[in-house]
Amino acid sequence: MKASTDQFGGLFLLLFCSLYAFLIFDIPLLENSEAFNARSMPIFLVCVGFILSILLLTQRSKETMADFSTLDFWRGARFLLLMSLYGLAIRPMGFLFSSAVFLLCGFWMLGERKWLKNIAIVIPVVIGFWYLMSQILGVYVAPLPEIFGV
Amino acid sequence: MFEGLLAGLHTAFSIENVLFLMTGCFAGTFIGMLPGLGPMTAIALMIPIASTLDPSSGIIMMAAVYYGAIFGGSTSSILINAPGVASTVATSFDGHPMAREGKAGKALAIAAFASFSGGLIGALLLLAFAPYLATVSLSFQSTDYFALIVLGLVCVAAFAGSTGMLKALAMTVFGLMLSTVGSDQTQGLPRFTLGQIDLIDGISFLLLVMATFALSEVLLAILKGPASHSEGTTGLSSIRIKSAEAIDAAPTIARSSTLGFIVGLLPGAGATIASFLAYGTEQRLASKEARQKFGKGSIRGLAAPESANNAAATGSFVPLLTLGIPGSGTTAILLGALIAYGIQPGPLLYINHPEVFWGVIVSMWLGNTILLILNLPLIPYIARLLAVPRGFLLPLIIFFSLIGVYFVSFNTFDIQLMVIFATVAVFFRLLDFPMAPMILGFILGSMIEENLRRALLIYDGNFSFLWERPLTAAIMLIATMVLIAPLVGKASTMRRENKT
Repeated sequence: MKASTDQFGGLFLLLFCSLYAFLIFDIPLLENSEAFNARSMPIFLVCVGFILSILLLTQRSKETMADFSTLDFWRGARFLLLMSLYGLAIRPMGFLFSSAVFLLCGFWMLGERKWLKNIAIVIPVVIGFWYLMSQILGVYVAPLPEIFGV
Repeated sequence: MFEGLLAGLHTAFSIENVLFLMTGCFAGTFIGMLPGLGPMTAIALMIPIASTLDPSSGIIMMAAVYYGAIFGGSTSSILINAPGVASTVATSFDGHPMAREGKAGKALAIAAFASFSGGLIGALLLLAFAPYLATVSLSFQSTDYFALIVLGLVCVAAFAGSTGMLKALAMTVFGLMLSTVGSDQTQGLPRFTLGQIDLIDGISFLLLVMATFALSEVLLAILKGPASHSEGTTGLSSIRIKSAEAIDAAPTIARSSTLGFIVGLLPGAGATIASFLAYGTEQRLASKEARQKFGKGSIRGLAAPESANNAAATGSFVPLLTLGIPGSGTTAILLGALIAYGIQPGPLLYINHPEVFWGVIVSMWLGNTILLILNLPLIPYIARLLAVPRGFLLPLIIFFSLIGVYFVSFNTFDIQLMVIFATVAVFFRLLDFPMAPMILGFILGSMIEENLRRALLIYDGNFSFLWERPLTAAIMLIATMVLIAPLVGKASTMRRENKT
């Protein structure tokens, strides 16, 4: 018998609730804590979470897993990695350079290989957005890499 | 009330607010037009810019983005049969057949007029009801608020239908759990921070909204590959509506707008249910001959969902502005934005910040007018934006999402957290779990905890307030009935199936 989407979701929720329940014991309590303290709400939520995840796991759902074979998970993973690297690079490399590289890589990964056209799109977008935020709306972000001291 | 209305007119008609309103309408229309990106994503993408404005301007702009996105969703429904949002699915039933018959311009014009009328009627009803509800809700205690929040959360799950209710409830609890991350509100004790100083203030709502809506939507599109819209049409014909057609649509618009507004008032129901309900009602009310045309390009079939969804969007502002309790994912995001401004929506908003309260209401009339006079002539040009290759569009949306969050917190840890939440959201969306209940749970998490704590303090740690205070007991009873009703319905259907 194939697992349903409910059961997969239920399993994830069960694992999340288990971790959440484990971490509840790390919440410090003050001496003479009130009846309703910092742990009360999480304890209530984890109980409801466990009940719901067990219901999801045990219910007989007709909804089986969709066919995911057409999805390109590698491309998705590469994008997640690119986003993470952008997060790491934005401060040391500066907003303009890191954003331009991020967008160029993104375009390239989605099949846009005309570099001149890509650059022609990226430069006005990145500079325009930086100008809008920094110069018009007053939200300053360093435009250039840290080594330039700007 | 009259003074408040004047203050609202003054706020909404100031030159800078009209400009922000136009920007919001235009940005909302554009984002809402992109298949898959709905009002929630549109508002989330605009928050970083809105957060730099003063509260009235920011909320007016975000409200404009909201109804602009609903209007934009109709455009993609009609032209390429790809509804940008669930609430415009019913629009495609008759709008797209009209476009295929070469009447795309007329279909868009009818959609625009119906949206305009729906929004206007909704705003008039909002003006009539909201102040009275705000006055009544001044007598509400924390016990009643606790019960109301429970009702709101339960309604959102219940409207997911009997099969999806469990999933919606699970996502609500998941959102509530995420809201407990960070310092405890009263004692300041750290909870679930994993020793990370970046989590002491909790998870930013903007970060969560961007990751679970904008980023996950784009990532799903990336997983699926470039979409082709071979059935679509971006060529437009005349946008003129004949007087006979206008007369035919007028009663439909009036009925559907009122119905949409009432549905919008209910927590969790929202624009999607309103549009389908209005479509179904009009189909039932139509003569046998007119009923045959439904689904094949009926003007009434197009006007009904369009007016209902805009009126419902307006109606959903009533519980937000008067009780401080959002009835939908979109208004939950607006609530988060208001809280970020240091404004607590609820009955006191009406007293303490009348310029925001009335400014939003008045701006809705103005916004709907702007949508009509600005967007209708621009539709042929806006429609061309649908042809922007996905290879450019998707990385740009990711860029604006990431940078939108970074420009608010200036913390690169938030970008890494967004990547994690986007991955989890994609996983859940592939499994068909709804995201809106999670956001609602997240936003209402701290409110429900605070009100429960206060209620227990008043009643000496006793839960007797649930049945001793009549108003609280009545709201809890409604919440229980809302929760049980779909289960009873499912059980009776199963019994009927077993008999046959």
